Amino acid sequence: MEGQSSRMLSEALRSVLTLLALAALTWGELQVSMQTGGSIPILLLFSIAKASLIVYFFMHVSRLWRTH
Amino acid sequence: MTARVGAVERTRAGIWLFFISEVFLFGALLSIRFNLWGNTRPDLDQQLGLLVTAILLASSFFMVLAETAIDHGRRVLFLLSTLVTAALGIAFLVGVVGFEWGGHLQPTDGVYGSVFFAMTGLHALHVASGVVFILYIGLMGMRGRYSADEHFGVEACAIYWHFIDVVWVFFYPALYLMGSAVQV
Repeated sequence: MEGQSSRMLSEALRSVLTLLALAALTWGELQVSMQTGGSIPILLLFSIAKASLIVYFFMHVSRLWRTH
Repeated sequence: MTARVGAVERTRAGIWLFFISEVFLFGALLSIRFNLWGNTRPDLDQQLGLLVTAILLASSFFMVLAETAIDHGRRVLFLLSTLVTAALGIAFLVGVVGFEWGGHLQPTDGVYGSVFFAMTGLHALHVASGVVFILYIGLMGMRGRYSADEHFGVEACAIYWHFIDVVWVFFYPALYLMGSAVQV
């Protein structure tokens, strides 16, 4: 039971870190937009980075190829 | 048991295939935006754009929390997290449909109005259906439908919600940040 609780806490902590990374990237793309006049290639890179974080850590895409 | 695991894995793969078809739909809207707007964008409320983006990202976090909670049999935390996720989804809809749509940009304002309303409208439709899905799994959770061992419905709902978030991750900069702002 204790082991299960600590596993849940570590999963929740990983989600918090992912959310913080997403917040930092969102703030970063806002700054980049203001300083570069909305550079499309750079902002696309930010979007790809954010989407990758969500797909891997939130959507758990690796479940598709992991066997139970 | 093995047959059930196989069925879940096939259904999971089917849901991801559905997302690929959705990528074509939203990708088409993005390509329309780049083709018609080029390196410009309408002058929109930047604070509101950032706020609704933050709300949607936070809702994804609570959706993960809901899925983690039911995975460990924490029913109360699961129910609370689904309620918070649904509330944040509704707040996003209020921000986009209630406030941004009521701004100076109208659907009749040429390519800027039509593309903006097409992109946000289709996305808002997905958010609204996601909120209904979340409320449904919350209701089923209250009735004891899900357990730590069997909660594929929650997983399906969660990845659908995160997919909506991924779409907005591309739509937000395309609508609010890319290119130079022009007065419409």
